[in-house]
Amino acid sequence: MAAAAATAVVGVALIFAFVLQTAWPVLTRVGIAQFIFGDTWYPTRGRFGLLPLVAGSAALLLGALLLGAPAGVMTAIFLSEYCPKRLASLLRPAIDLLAGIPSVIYGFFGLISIVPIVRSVFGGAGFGPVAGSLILAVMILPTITSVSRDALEAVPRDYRLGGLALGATQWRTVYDVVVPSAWSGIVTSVVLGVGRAVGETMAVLMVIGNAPRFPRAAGQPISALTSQVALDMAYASGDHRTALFGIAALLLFITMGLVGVGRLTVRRQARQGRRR
Amino acid sequence: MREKRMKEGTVRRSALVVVILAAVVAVLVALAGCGKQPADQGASETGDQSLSGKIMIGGSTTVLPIAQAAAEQFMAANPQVRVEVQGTGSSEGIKGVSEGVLNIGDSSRELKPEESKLDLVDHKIAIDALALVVNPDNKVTNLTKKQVVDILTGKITNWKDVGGADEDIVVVGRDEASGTREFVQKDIIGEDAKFAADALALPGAGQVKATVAKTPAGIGYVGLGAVDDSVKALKVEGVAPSEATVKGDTYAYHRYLHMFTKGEPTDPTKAFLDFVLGEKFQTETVASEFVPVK
Repeated sequence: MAAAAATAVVGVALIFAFVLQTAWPVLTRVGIAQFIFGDTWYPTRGRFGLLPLVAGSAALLLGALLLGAPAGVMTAIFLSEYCPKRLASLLRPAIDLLAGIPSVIYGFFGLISIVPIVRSVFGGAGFGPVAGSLILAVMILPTITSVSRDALEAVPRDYRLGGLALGATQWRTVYDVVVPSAWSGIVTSVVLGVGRAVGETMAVLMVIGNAPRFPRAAGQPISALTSQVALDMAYASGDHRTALFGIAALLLFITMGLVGVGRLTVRRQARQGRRR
Repeated sequence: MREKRMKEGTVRRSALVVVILAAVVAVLVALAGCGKQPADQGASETGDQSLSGKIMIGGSTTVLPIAQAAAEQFMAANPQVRVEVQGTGSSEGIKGVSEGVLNIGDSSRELKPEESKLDLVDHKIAIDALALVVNPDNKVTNLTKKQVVDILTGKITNWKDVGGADEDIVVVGRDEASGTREFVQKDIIGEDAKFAADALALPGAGQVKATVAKTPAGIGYVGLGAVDDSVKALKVEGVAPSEATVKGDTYAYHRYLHMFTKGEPTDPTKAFLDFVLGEKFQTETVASEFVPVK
């Protein structure tokens, strides 16, 4: 058991060491600030500025969160507080299934059906932040829903009864008692959802058009950190290849930050639980 | 009280883990640093494994269908030989064959200057013609070479400037790993020109076709073999792309497809290349998608 745990730890350490070591030359040559805040990504001409890609990833993430987080949390509230048992037995597997669909299928679905809709509504090519955000929102929905639902269902039944006994309607009880009690679990679910969205590559790659420019219109192509690595890896050489490892390092740090935030909320939740 | 002691124990243990981790990382980085060169030398000495009766082929996705068809037919005729084919992009193919990982590297582009020193032998196996495709509803049927360049580089941005409807042009391009894109960059718009900044970069000819078929104002570029009824191929300078116009050199945009070997090939790789270049395979299989070289 200890050996198994050690494998995970050593694996992470290996990846970190490998990525950082490979990325080092370009980081020192271009300079970390210029690398992250440079405004042009044109690797075949020696321009390694990640800002357009960072902005693209951020736009996708923000869109996915705005669409996916409320939908996911609402779904969780419905499932745990309102949904009749028979309907829940249908809904839960359906939502779990969403999590199991391979991302390339999401991408293909987006390419064939969402991109044309975005194009006819917003104009332009249709590939871009809106199509990407829509797909990501659906992809993070199951994560947010299932973790939030667990948190909501962990709220003791007495709380609900107490609320109702005070004469509150069911919605008031949910809104003022149940959701606040489960709040840190809900935040954790959103953090996990963000983690999934940050790392998503294939589905995003197929619907955002992959032009490394700053987001400027709903239906104009952008690029993201992950998809750029996946696209360029096949042919990059020299500094360009190292720069891709630089992107990988940045992604690792973002993920680390997210895991940190996630742990923090979990710990706070545990502390609150003890206080009760 | 007891809880607190337990906690301290965990903290001490996790500190230990961190120290061990750091040591492991340090050792690994050091090993990776000095282990590199000898490993590379070893690889180049033991490169060609063709005597095992196995042919590894990889590279251009444009060449992939030919290579796969050839592999099937060749294995049927020579059951003792195994041929494995992958489509990873021209650059990976050239890299693979020069490093000895592949016996044949497929490419839809010529060698770059830095690749020409790699002792690779070029076998031209087919001619690929490039078609500019638009939505079937597009009124435009013909473009001049100048107009093609201006559209792809973003100088012309509206179809009305080339005789079409008043609609913004959507350039549906390929990703940078694509040999097709490299062909357009080198032979059509010019090495130093930039593609239109809003051009899409899609990872595959199929996606380009699907997008153009669904985008009324789209224009894309794919190999002539990939053209089907879902899109309309444009004439260039009044000449429609076809086998006859490509061979007759009247249609402007065509290129050779290559299979590279490291040095002169030995059997079974040599036999495989002879088969690919043989008249039967060229007329029966290559001709269905590309233009035969013979």
